[in-house]
Amino acid sequence: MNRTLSLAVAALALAAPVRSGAEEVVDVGDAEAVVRLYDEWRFQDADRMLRELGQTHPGEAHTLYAEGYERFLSGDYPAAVAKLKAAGAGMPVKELLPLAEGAQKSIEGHQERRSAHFLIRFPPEDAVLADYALDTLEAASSALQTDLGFVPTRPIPVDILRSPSDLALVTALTTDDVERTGTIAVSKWGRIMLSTPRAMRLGYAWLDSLSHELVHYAVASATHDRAPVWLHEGLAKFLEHRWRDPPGLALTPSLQHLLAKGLATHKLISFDAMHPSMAKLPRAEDASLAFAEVTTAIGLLYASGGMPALRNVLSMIALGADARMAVARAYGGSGSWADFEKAWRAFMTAQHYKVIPGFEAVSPKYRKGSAIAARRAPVEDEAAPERAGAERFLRLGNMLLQRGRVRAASAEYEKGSKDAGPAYWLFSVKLGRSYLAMGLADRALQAVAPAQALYPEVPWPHLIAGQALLAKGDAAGAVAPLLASLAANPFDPSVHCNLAEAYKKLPADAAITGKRQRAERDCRALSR
Amino acid sequence: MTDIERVRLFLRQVRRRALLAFGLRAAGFTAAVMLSTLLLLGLTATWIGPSASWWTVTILILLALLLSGLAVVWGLPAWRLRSMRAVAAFAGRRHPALASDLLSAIELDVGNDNELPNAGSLSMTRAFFGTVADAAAPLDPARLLPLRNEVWAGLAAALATLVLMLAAALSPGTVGRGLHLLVHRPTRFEAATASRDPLVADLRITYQYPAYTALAPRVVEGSTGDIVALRGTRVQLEMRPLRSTREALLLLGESGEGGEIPAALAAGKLSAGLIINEDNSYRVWLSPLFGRPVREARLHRIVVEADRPPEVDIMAPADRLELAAPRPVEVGYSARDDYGLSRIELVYKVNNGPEQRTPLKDAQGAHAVRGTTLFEPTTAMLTPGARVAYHIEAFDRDDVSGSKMGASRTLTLVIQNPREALDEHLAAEHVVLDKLVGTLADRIEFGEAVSESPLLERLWRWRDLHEAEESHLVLLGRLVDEQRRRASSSRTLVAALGGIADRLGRQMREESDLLKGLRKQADQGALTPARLNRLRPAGARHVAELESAVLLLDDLIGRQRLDDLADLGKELTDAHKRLQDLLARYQAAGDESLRRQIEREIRELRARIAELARKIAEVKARNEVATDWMNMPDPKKAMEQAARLDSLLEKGDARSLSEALAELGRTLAALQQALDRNADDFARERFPQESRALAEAMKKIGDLEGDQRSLASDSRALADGAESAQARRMEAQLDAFLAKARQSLDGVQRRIGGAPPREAGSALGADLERVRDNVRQLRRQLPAKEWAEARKESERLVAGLRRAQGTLAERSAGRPTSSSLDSYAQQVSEAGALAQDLAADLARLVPRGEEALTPGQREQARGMGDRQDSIGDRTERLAQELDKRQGQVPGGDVASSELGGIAGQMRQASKDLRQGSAVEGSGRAQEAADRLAKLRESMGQRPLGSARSAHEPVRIPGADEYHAPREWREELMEAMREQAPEKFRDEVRRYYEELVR
Repeated sequence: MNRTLSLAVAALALAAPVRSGAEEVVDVGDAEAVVRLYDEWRFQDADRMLRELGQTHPGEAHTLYAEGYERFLSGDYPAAVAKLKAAGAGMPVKELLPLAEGAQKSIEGHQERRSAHFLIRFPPEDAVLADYALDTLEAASSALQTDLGFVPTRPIPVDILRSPSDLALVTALTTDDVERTGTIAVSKWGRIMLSTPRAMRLGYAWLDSLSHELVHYAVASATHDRAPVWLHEGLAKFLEHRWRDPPGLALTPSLQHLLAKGLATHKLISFDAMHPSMAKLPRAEDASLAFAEVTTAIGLLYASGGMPALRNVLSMIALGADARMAVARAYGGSGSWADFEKAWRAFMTAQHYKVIPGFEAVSPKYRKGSAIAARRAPVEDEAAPERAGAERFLRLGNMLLQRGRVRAASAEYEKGSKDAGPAYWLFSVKLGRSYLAMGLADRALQAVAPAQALYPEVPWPHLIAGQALLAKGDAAGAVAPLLASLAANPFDPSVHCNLAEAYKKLPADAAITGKRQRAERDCRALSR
Repeated sequence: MTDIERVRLFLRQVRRRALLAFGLRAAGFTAAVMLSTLLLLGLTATWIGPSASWWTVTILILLALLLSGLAVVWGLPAWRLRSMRAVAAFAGRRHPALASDLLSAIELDVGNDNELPNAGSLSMTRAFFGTVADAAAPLDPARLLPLRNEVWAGLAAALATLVLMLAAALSPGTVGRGLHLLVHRPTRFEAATASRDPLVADLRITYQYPAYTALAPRVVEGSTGDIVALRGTRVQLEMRPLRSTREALLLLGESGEGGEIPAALAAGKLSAGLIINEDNSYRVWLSPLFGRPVREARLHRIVVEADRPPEVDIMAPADRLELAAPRPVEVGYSARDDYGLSRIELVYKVNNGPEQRTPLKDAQGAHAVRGTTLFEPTTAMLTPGARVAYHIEAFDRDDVSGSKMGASRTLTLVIQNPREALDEHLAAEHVVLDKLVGTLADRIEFGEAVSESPLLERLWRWRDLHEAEESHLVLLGRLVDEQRRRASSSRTLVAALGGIADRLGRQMREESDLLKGLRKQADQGALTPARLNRLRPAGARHVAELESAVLLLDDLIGRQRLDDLADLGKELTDAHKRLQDLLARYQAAGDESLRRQIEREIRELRARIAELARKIAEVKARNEVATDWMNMPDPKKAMEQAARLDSLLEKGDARSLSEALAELGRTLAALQQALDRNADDFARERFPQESRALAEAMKKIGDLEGDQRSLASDSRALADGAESAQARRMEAQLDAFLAKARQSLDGVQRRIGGAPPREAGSALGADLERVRDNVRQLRRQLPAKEWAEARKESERLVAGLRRAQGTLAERSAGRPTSSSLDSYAQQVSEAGALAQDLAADLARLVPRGEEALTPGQREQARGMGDRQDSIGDRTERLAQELDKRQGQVPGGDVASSELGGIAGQMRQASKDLRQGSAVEGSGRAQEAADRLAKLRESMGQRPLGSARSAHEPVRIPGADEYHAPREWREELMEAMREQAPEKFRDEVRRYYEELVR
């Protein structure tokens, strides 16, 4: 079969945003069908067709182009670059080739590890991520199979990237977009790309993010990438914790606060504003609010029809239905979007989310370039308060703590805590540390409890809580907060060391022993 | 053997014995006589004195005595015993019983062939012989001739020997000396008779000094004969002998041992020449026509006059000068020598390296030289911590004994190791910080913990805290003092540290007063909780102050550390640039020494990178800065890249080396950028007020610079316009004027070209030197069309010649003058007239200042002067503002001083413009703009405290006067013309000259 199709790249751009900027008409020959299938995430069909193309038109430009595209999606960047270059300038490689080259550059020197369905590539200094990431992804994959019927048909490449510029290099976003909106992960071109938590000021919920991106992957597969952004994000946010928790709406206090504020001020983000990407919203806070909104929309859908309702929506979209219509129909009732929207607003109101006085949402924020280049682990002090008074007490407390004057340090932290207000988590952490140093585990737990509740995405309150529980002899109780801390900042050796200690104190079985050994290994590696 | 043969044998034995006896006797007595004679001769020689003939006389006499003795005492008796008959008679006299028989036997022994006398019977005769032989047989010749008399002869000889020896021993001056004179050949000195009376008269000594001294020959008439002269001086002695003389000599040395110099005798005069090489003496020796030579009893001294080595002084900003970075150092020197100096050199040694020399001057025989130089040792060798020992050496021109060197004292220049100094200082700041944090902790914990303790215990605890803090403040005070003493310290740092000390000091004084009161109350038993609680509010304020202090100190440490790292990063990129330049030169020239330099630079670069890595690690380990500024780059990559350079250089792979160097350059640039950003961010965040103040000051300076540049540009345009109009005006007359001017200058030069007569005095020489300088300047300025300068110079020329005329008139006033002085005065007068003509022509052609401008241009110039004044006012106000805010604006102190200087320059520019001197005005305006730009740039640079550039020399304090402005010098010299009382005139002149040197 020798088909030559002239396609406007503008048309292709619907399926592959990478080509959206080009206007020239390029003849991609028989590759078009293959590329379209890949862009529709119909990988098995596309692979089969590519094999046929390879047999019928071996070495031809459009074949090489299609093969290069397939290699790009598979994460084999050197081969992709070679094929695309071989395809020549006659093919639409002008934007794809730099992306493939950028992707290749972004993982230079990376190490890799595989599991049943995933191939993770990570910087050598971030090796601690690999095992936890693969476990999480496999767990999430399993949950998504149950929830959405998703089964990966090919190994999914997962690239851990060092910096926002690396993330920009492999996406269509600019570094400024990535930094401004705090975009930390992208699921695109059949793979998952994620910034290392080392690049973020306070780390971030990286395991949930991996799971989140896998939901995107699943949704794109299930809908042949026809789901709109808001639906994507709603489902991803709603299902991201499925690797660890049963299904259900579980907004973080931060999202609850934002949503409550949005509802109170009638300043919600419209679904239209979320297109084409939430990363394009002007502020990180807007993106967070949008996430909260779409999550509650999916929460409403789930509340009304459970997982079948969600699967139903995806199926309808895959068949070409409009997402709003599909959601409205799956929700039931009149089946109109207006009714769904009305119900959704009522649902949000019914959650009785509260605006937390003095609450400062923790939005993902990249570290300074120098900090990323230094490759140091995130530390709590990078979240120093901007209020001069509080910052003064924080510094004084730190200076005293460094010199072993714990009591005096705690006095300064208490002054700082008063100045900054109870919602400011850093003083809780500092006080917790001071109390722990003074052997006051209960006071340490009390100090960090509010921060743990309000800022579950911040690792240190969990760490202090875990250490305090361990100090109290509650090894079993310590594991959960320590893992929560690890899920945000896996680079703190004390997390792993404390985990190892906790596992040691638990009744030994194969699973616990394995976890203990892993924790001990990471404790050693990170303490070096 | 027959009987007669037995008789004859006996007689022979007797003869032998007799000869022995005679010999012994002769020897003994002859020796005694000879020794006695020797003694007598010795005594005689002592009495007579040394003589060349003593030896001969002695030998002859002794020989005569010896021969006489031998002949008389041995020879004669022995001769007498020459026949057997005489022996028989001799023996018979000793043994009369046989006397006749022996004699008969000898007489009867006529042999077998002859007949016996008296027809005697042979047989009977034989029988007789037998009888005699038998009778003689028992006789022993030794008994027959005993040696008793010979013993006496021996004793006589021994006695004579003993007497001689005793005499010589007991009287060495007489006998011993006499004996010595008998065998010693005397010198001319010894042989001559010493005369106490003069032997010569009218002594004339002519000294020809060595050429290097440049001294004229000197003649001393009627000399005593003593000679005093420099080594190498040729001395000619001329004298008249007072006695008839056949031969004359100069005997050198105490007793002629130094040799002799023949003196030529001609026309009744003696003359001798010698070259002085060492201290010596001499005597005149004369040999008369008849008689014994005579010599002078008194000697004449020859003294070598010392040519002392040069005396050298050195002056520098300090005997031990410590510099933060290599900079030129102004060094003053002066050297003096009695006979003239040759070369003067600056000698220095870096660390223990080889001695290096920088020629300063060739004095060309001048007796005194002084000057200044900028000492700038090779900067490549002046690494931090380097120690340079330097001094001045001056050499004289002594080519006789060899050039002598005089050296000044040795001064030292130390290149501070700023990092070392900073490390030390930061360590000290850390100690204070730790102590203050400790005190803060103590106070906070005390407030919490002991509120329930007994009152007195609380009071004593409080007092302990107070005393501990007092000792910490002493440390802080020392730190502030040290910083104040360091020239390179930043004022802002000193002000900040001083502020901490002051504020804490106030708190301490307040607390001290309270504690004193409470202690008194405690002593009286009147201490109550309420009274003790009065400490609390003061304590809270104190804690707040301590908190501020530790935070500020922590920030100061952090800023210094990050600035230090940023500086190190800058040094790395600078070193890389040097390396690149060297490599390019090496690749072009292939010079081996360049290669070695590259190797050194690479080593140095590696060491610096390692230092940076170590410092970064230390900052992190010590937590010297907060987390936000801990994100420092890792120099590991740069280190690896630098390490590769060595092997590439070794391989000679130039291309790869260039690439590797370029790669390293990129890495280092990134390192520097990151470190700079880190330091800047820190300063911005932690010292926002300072940063704002600095930015504000820089903006104001930038504004001033902009306005000044605009003014400079406008005034330049005005000056250009005026100059081109001037050039147009002069164009027509230019060639004729220049030709005439050249002639005038030639005329002036010709007339003052020769050396003035000596009687004109030294002051005239100085005046004429200045005049020659004026001529030289004019010869340059006129063809270059520097009209304004040429006009001023021509006026100076006229004034100079007028002064010279005055000096000459003074000299000739009231005293007879030589014709040469009169002639010279005439020449100077003519030169003055020529100069006046030239000045008048120039004044006609080159209008002064305002005259050169059109009315419109004059108006413009005045307007610009107003503008300049306005900018000057703003500059001055900014200088005052920065002066007031010293310690708040980094580098503000230096900027204030520089702005003051710039404002002064602006005032001068304004004055020039108002006076219509557009060229001068625009030049000054431009210079002021450039200085503003430089100041602005320097304020933006790190470190903020040090303002002097590495190229600005370190001056000797007060040395600026060495460069008094030309005009001022001229004015002073004019002022000097005001008459001073005659006897003070020279002193006044010297005073003025000293002023303007």
